Amino acid sequence: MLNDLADDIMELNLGPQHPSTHGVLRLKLKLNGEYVVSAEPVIGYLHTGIEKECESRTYTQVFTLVDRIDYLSGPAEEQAFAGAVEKLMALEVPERAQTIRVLLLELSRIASHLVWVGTSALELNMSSVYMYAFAEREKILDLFEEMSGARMFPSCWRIGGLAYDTPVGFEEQVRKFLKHFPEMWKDLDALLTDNYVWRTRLEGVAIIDKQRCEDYLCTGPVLRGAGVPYDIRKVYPYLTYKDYSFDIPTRPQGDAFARYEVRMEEMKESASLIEQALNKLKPGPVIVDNRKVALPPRRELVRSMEAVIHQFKLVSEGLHPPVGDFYNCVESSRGELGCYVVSDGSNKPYRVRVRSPSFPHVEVLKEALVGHLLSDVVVGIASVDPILGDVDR
Amino acid sequence: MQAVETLKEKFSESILNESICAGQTTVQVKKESLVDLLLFLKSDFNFRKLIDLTAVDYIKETKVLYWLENPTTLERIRIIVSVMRGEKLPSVIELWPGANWYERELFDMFGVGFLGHPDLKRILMPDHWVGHPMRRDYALGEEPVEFKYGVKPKCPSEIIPHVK
Repeated sequence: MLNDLADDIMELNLGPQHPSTHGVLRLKLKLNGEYVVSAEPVIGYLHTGIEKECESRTYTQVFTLVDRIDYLSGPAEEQAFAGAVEKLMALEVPERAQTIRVLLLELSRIASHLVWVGTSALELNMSSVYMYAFAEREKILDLFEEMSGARMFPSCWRIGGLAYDTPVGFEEQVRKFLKHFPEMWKDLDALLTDNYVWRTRLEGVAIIDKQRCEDYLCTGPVLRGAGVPYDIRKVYPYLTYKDYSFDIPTRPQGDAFARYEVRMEEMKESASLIEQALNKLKPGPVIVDNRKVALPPRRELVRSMEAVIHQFKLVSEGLHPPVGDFYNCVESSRGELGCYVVSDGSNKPYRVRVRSPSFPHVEVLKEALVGHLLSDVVVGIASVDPILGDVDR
Repeated sequence: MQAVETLKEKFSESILNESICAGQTTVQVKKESLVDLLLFLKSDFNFRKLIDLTAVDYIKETKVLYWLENPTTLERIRIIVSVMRGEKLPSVIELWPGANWYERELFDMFGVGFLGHPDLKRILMPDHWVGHPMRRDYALGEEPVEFKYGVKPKCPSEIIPHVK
């Protein structure tokens, strides 16, 4: 009787409420014994309709919405949207604002990778790694809170610059973080990279090679884990990234372990980018001096009627980019994050499209998981770092 | 861009428009020759990466956009094809298997059909949903926030009116 059952295909439903699915991802698995015969990811459980809602909000209000799409790298979402509108309006962002943006973007990249490494390790029952990673991430969130008052989303991006400058003592605090970070990185590295369990569980699992990346639109650490040195910060530089020196870490294997190594190396590169940004930080304005775009400074409001009119118009109506469309892409922690903005000349965008990096990464799972053990499915999902808010939008 | 010049020669009848907005090249084509044209770009001009597939709705027609990238020269090109409500487009799954979900999303959100798609069903909305939410004539479905003392507030999206 056992032999009859051996060839039976069993259907198993994994998720959407499952701690290892990084949100609400559902997988319809077909199993032959312990081996996966086919996997079908089912998404849509976290669909929020943010793209639709953006169409009825002014350009400044959109920042609060796009932040929450990929809730682990809010600054990247804001930069993608702000960059598109700034390009449409042909605005030149002041240098100080650009440098602070780079600083916050890289901080959020480290925070996002720390969450990834922590939760992935937790799924393999290494709770100490999780604690180390989240303790370090908390320091970055404290920096965000210092900067903007909000922990997760430092929504200080505005069209043409930033809402406010860094607070007093912010730079020293970032330097303090940077001083401690390499030690913590070494701890994580020592706990994981040569860990026998970690290596055996990750090596050779969920292989996404170069060809599969091209077929399935994969970008970011997944593509770099397949040996392609492709990083939007290098190939289509935005902000002042072309003035910074940094490497693109790659690994040729294309498995889960390669992607882990790429993310670990990226954290180091980001730390060096933050240091370079701190050294570049010079005093200056943080938002453009265009009264049709940016709010007038507070001190002008009590003296100038003109300033009051501008303030009133910007708050009650918002700004009007010229008719046109622009696709702006940035490198988020997960890959190419694009924002396509269509303007019809009114105070609200006609269409905002967010090209999310996680969407194709979940789609590719249906190929990457086949032939693996059921216990490797969890590793496979974690290795592409899906954020379900980003997948479903 | 050289690819655009060659396209204009080879597909002269099916190219409707060509424009550059803020440095991004756009070619608008007829839907009949879409797959041939994409295949030509992919094989002859090495535009082998599909970056994004999305759409913009203009009530009567929907414009579907394909972003392609040439990974060696790092050039990007945008192909636009316009479909009327109820019309269908040929699927590009043969060229990029990953377009599967993108086409399902367009079907779900805009109601654009795709011929030759193996599994065209809703992806983000529930299966029983009626309507296509990203169409411009689909209402937002929001409610005013209630306050005490009979104050009738506006819906959130009406607080700042739409000013052309």
